Amino acid sequence: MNAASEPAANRALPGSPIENAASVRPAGKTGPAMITVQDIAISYPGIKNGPAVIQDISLSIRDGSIVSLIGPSGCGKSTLLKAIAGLVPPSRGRMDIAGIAPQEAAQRRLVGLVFQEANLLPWKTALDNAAFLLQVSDKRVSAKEARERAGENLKLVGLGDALTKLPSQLSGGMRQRASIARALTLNPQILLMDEPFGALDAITREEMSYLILDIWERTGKTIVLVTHSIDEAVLLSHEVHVMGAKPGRIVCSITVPLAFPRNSQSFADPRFRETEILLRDRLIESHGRSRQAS
Amino acid sequence: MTDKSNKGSDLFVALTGMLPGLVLFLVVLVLWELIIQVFNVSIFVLPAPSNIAVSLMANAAALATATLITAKEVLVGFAFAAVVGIALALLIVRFRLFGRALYPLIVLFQTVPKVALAPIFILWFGYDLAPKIVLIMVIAFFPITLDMLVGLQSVEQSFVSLMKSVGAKENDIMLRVRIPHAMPHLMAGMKVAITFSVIGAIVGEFAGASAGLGYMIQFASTQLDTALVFAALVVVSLVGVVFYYAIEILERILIPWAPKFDAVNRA
Repeated sequence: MNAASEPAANRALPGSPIENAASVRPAGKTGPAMITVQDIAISYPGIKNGPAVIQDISLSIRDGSIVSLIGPSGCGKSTLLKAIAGLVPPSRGRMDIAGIAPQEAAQRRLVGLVFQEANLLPWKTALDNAAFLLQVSDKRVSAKEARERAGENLKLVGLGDALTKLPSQLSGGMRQRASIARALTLNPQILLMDEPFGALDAITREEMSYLILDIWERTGKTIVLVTHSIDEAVLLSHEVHVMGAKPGRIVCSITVPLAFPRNSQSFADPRFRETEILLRDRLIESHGRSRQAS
Repeated sequence: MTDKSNKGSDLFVALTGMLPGLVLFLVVLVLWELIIQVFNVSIFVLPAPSNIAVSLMANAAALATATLITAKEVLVGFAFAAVVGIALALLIVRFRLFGRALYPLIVLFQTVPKVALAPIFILWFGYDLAPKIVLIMVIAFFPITLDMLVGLQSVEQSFVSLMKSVGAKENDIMLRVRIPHAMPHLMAGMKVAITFSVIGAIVGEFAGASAGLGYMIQFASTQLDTALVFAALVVVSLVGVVFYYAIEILERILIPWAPKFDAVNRA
């Protein structure tokens, strides 16, 4: 009998947390480590020997997996994501993306970024916005080719009918879909998403979660998601890392014992609720410790 | 058909929008005329609108010549102000250290009353076009620099991160993102600057000129021809309005995607 088929009461008992279920491998096709973070620390820029934003963080994210980072505001989730993207250098420790340094990985377009704000250029159509980063990053790619690839990705995210629309003519959800298409047009191996649905309403958020699952199933990309939503983290992820603040660190890592494909039915699975409760408990604990530390 | 009817309805909406302003303007003119007639106010003190209209027609040729001269000063001075204002903003944003050194000096210079500089510019550059252009430039460049700076710097930091994440250089970010993003701000600064330019031209002509609307106002006031002073003021205002709306039309052509500020409907 594996952990997933045990009675919920047995698995939810104190002392036998679901963290122990790390041995339950998710059903997705995940591979060897794509992102390796070893004992890194990041300090505030410009402050020598200043307090660390994040400290002692080690992670290994498998190729083709979806991993979420959750934690209280200010715990350094976004900073960690930016470090993986090669935008913030760690002051200590080592990181590699597919065996190379994060900055080199970014320049080789192994990484695609999606932020909370869709950040579309208001003077460009959805198609030109989706093609924009590819054109900037690789001068050898012709405008025609970039637009063809952008068009395919806009179709993938359900914006096939809105190619010529300006951002002002798109809804919030459509704008965020276009920003995901822009990231996909780079054809990265890793998608880094920093609270991508934070500015959307509840229904659109849920639709976007299914879109991410759909993209993952079709492309098998490694996805790292920063979110404040426990539901979102459980629904989407193979593994959830809970972060604490002051300094930012990983307080626990929980493997989600739900099989893929996941959909709206996944919410009804008792293990979904169980994982959600466990994550909530860990978040409250880490939040309490952070308050005491301050 | 639909396009035509849309354009027609746009024109109707625009004309309807102007109607309250026109009605109020006419009411003020009628009241003004009545007060002058009823209280028998001397034409030397305050001419009636009818006196101003008569003066406008009687001096039409002279006013037209003066208008061309002042309009040329405004346009050339504004063009220089735009070039200097945009260049300063680009330099401040692109070269941070230089910007940190330069910006406080620009603000300091802005606090100098420019009208006081007019006689100095006359002394330096003579009575021709040059002193007026320099005066207009120093009066009008600041709103352009300031608004352009706001536009260049208000690009979302996360978008800059996005560009950097794919290896974009500062010049790429400047040319492909910051400058287009700053265009609506630049246009707002230019609208303020063009009205300042008209003021600069008149002040420059007051300080020393032999032609132009400012010179005409000064000459008419020495002759106690108050009606002509007001007639010239009407033309100066019209020049300002024409230039202002010329920039607004330019804005609609160059950046149709930018949100339009509708002061009347927002109020």
